[in-house]
Amino acid sequence: MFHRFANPARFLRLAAAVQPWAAGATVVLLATGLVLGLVASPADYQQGETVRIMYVHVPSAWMAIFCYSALAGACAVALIWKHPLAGLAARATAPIGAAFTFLALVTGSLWGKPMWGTWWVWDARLTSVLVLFFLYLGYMALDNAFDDPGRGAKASSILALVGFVNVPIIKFSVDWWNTLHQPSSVVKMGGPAIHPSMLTPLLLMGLAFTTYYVWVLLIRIRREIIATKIRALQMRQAAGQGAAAPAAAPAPGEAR
Amino acid sequence: MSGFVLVIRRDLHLAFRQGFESLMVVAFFVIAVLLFPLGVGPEPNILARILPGVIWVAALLASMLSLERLFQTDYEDGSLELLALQPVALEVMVMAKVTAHWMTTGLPLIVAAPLLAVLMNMPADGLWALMAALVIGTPSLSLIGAIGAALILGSRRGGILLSLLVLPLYIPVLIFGASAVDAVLGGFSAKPQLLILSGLLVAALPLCPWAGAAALRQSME
Amino acid sequence: MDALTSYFYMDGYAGFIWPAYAIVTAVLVGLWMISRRSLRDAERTLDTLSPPEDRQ
Repeated sequence: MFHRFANPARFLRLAAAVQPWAAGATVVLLATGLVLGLVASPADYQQGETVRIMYVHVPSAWMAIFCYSALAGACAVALIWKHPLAGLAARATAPIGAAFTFLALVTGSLWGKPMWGTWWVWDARLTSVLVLFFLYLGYMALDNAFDDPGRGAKASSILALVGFVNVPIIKFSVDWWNTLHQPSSVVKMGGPAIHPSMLTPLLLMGLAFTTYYVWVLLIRIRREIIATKIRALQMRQAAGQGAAAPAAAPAPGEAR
Repeated sequence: MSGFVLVIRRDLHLAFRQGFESLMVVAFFVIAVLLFPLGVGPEPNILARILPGVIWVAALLASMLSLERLFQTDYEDGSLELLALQPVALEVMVMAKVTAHWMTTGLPLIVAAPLLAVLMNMPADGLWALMAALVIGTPSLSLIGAIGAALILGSRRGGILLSLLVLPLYIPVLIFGASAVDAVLGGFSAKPQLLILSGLLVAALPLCPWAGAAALRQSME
Repeated sequence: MDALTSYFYMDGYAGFIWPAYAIVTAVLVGLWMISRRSLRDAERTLDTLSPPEDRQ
C-alpha cells in the first residue's frame, strides 16, 4: 500500500520546505508592488488614475491563462503517464485559476466603466475569458460528480484538454478582432510599450500573484494527498472490520 | 465501414421505435422560438432583428436536450462494452453515433427552421444564409456534444452537468451562426462567417470523436 | 491632510479603483484561508483515523 505514496511522501517534505519561501516572497513582492503601483507610479496621461487598476487586472488575467495552461498540462501528464501527483496538482489548481479568472473579469469591469463607459462589452476577449471561467466551473463540477474520485479525475482531465482550444483564442482575440480591449503592451515585438515606472510595479504584481499561486497550490496539494490517504485508510478499515465498521469517521472536508 | 453503417442503422431504428424522440426535439425547438414573439411582443422589426439569435439559441438547447441519452442507454445496458469489443475503432463508433444523433435532431431542426423564419417575418434573403449556417453548424453541435455526453456517463446529476460542460463550447458556433444571418440581413456577404463555421466543423470532425472515444474508454475501465 | 484626502479621492475614480483592490484582496485572502482550513481539517481527520504505526 505504501509504495504508492512514496512519491507523495517525498513531495510532502519538499512542499514543507518550499511553502514558507513562497509565502514570504508573496508578502514581500505584494507589498513592494502595491507601494510602487498605488503611490510611487504616475497616473497615465490618457487613462488618469484608473490605470492603477491595471496592476491587479493584468496579473489576474495572466494568471487565469497560466493556471489553465498548468491545469491542462497536469491533466495531460496524469492521463498519459498516470502520474498520481499530476492529477492532484490539476485538481488543486482549478479553484485558484477560477478565482483569478473571476478577478480578471471583475476588475476589468471596474476599469471598463470609467474608460469605456460600460461595465461589459460582448467582444472576443471578454467573451472568451468568460468561457474560460465556465470551463473552470465545468472542470470542478465534473471532477466532483462521481462517487469514485478516480473516475472524476479522468473525465475532468479530458474536459480540461478539450477546453484548452480556448487559450489561444483568448491570447489572440485582441489581435484578430477589432475591439475596445487594448492589445498587450508588455509582450510585444521590440520591447514593451510601457514606461518603466509602470512596468516595474506591474511585473512585481505579476510575480507576487505567481508566488501566491505556488503557495496556495502547495497547501491544496498537501490537502489532496492527505485526503487520498484518508480514503485509503477508511477503505482498509472498512475491509478489515467488515460490516461492523464504525460510520463515525468524519468524511474529509469538502471545502474546495 | 460496415460497422459504421450498422451503428447508424441501429441508432436510427431505436430512435424511431422509442416514440419519435426527434419529433419531440422539433416540438421543443418550435415552442421555444414561438415563446419569443409572446415575450418580446409582436413588433415585426424587433422580431426580424432578434430572429437569427433566437433560432440559433433554440437549436443549441434542442440539440443539447437529446444529448444526455446519446450514450446513456448503451452504457447502462452494457451494449457500449460490446461496441468497444468490435474490431472497428471506438472513434468510428462515436462518429457513427454522432451521425445518427445529427440525423435525428439536427436534420429535423433544419427542416423546421424555414417555417419558423416565415412565421417570424424574416426577409427572404436571410433565409438561405440561415439554412446554410444551420447545415454547416449543427453537425458541429452534435460532435462537440458527444464529448460532453461521454464524459458524464455514470455521474451524479448528469443532465444539468452536461449543459454546464457543453454550452460554453457551443458559443463559437452560436456566434458565427447567428452573425452569418445578421450579415446578410444587414446587406453584407455571409461568406466569412460560413467559412469560419466550416473551419470549426473541419476541426471538430477529427478531434471530437477522438476525445469522445477517450472519454468512453475511461468510463468503461 | 488634504494631500491624503485627494490621494484617496483618486481624481474622482476612487469608486472604481478601491473596490477593485478590495475584491482582489478579499478573494485571494479568502481562498488562502479556505485552503489552509481544509488542510488543517484533513490533517486532524488523518490523526484520528490512523493508529500510530501508520504515521509516516
